[in-house]
Amino acid sequence: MKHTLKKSAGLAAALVLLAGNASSGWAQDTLKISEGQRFYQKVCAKCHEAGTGPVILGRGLPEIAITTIARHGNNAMPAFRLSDIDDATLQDLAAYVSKSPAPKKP
Amino acid sequence: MTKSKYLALPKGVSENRFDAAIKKFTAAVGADHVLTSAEHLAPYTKVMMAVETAKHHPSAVIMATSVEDVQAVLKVCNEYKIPVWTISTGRNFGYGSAAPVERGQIVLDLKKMNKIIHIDPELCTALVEPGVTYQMLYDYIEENKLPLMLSFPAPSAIAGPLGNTMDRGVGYTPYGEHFLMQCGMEVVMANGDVLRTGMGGVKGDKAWQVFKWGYGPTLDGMFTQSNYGICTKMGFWLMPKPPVFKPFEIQYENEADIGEIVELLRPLRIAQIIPNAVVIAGVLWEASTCNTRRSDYLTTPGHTPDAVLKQIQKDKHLGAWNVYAALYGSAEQVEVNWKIITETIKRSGKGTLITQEEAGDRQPFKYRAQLMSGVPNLQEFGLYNWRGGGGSMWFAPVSQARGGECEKQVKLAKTILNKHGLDYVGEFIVGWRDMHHVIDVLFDRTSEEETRRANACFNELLDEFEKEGYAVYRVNTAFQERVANSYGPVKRDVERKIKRALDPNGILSPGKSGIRI
Repeated sequence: MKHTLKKSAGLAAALVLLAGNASSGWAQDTLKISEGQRFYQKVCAKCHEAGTGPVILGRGLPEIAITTIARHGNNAMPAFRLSDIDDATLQDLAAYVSKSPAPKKP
Repeated sequence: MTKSKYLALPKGVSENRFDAAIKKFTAAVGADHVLTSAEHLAPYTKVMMAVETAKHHPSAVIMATSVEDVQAVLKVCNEYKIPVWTISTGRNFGYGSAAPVERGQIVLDLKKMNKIIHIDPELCTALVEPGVTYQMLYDYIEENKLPLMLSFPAPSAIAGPLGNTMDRGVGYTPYGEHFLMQCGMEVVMANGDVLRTGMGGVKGDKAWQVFKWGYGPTLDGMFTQSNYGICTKMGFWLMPKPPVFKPFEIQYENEADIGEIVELLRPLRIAQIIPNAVVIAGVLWEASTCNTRRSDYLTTPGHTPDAVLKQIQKDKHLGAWNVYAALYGSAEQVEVNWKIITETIKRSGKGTLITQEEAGDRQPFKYRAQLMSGVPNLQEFGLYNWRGGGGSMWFAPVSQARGGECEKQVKLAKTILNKHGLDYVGEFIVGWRDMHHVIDVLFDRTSEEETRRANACFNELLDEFEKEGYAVYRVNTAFQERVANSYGPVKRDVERKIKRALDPNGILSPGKSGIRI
């Protein structure tokens, strides 16, 4: 069954950010980074910088590809829901990943 | 399936009637928290099971943010006879993920109820809401420098304690039997009543998270792997962080060694010399989690021949079986137990001991050590890359912790999997006296032919194991009805009677573990 994908930003504004309550936010952020980048570091990097998923930083990947795959999952990759990451944060994450410089080789 | 503006409709509910229910849900929780578009439902439809995706399509998703939301949703469900499938973090990978057991059920998503209500660093207890993930708890513990350690399953960074415990999942530390460490639940019943188990019903009580049993029947167990209520808060015990943590591995050369390994480990485990849930992992599990793909070795379809398994073992410096365990405690305690272990291994004349110092940063040792010390990661998703294509169904028969039993199960499982062109990718998680024999039936879900084979394989595994007196402890949503039969008609009948009494309209996750009114 195929479904058409449309961009939707309308819902995002009213939604609480992931882990948005006082007692449970991502800790130990000393650097000022965006919500999208924080989500990338806390979740995405655990596969995409561990060899489990492909490297996605520094490849100039189109933002729409990133948001689409995040919402649908792909092979080993889980699907991420509005309750995991709202549209605005996902869009921010996609922009961060898309525009990021290539990671330094060890 | 008739055409509808909804992705699916609940069984026996017309589109008009569902429209009316959606209106009421919207009035109850707000339009932003009611999802019906195919786009928004898409992430709830990714199943890894060998069945048609459409069989598990939800009709809508409601995101609750409070107990009052949950009560309001149930009121509408009762009025319109809408079945509701509840998820917490929805990360039950290989068991159905976030999709409902039956097409058309609405999903009640509790991920936004994500408060860490309480952590007591002296009594080492926690009380959390359903949406709290292990990563959030880990960050909280680190940020507040609490001397506590978590126990979790492999998808730790995105899964959470409430959902995992309610499905009776296990972890890898001395607190790895998660339901054993659970203490106190808050449960919303089908009629909206809020039940607190254990000491939770006593006015002014302070012992909810420290005394499990309360008074009269202890009810907590009946809410796990069931559909008798919706757990909205759960207490559990945390392990004090030990001064010394010493993870180690023992590699064994041959597949036939499994019996001896179990016989060797059981006394150490029962006597708590090794206090944690030891893992005995097969070569392909370990190869997958250090980023080995089948396509690195073979492009031909079918199962992977033993000669290739041996080659992988050699190339990746793995054993045919890889035992992971750890010691926890003061330096003196660890030293004494380490001496017992090394002498036991030496006496047995088999097995190569590897310490953390020797393993360094090498995978899979590194992520295994993280799992055994409560540091979240997602390394185990490498399993899904072994064959690729996103198909995964856990086949998890229980066994006694006896060498002969484990050997028999491995042979039987491998024969059946190979017959269907699939691989044995398995591990044993050693309980105190039992084994969770956990086998990942991995297949390429993008191939219809392979998906059909995987389905036939899973059925045959269930049938053949049942003939030998084995049953699984947990199963994906496509096979829950089938597995309920393994446990006999009397149990099913009792469960149905309880269901009818507590949920007369049968709105709560009908079909979960095969239970219906």
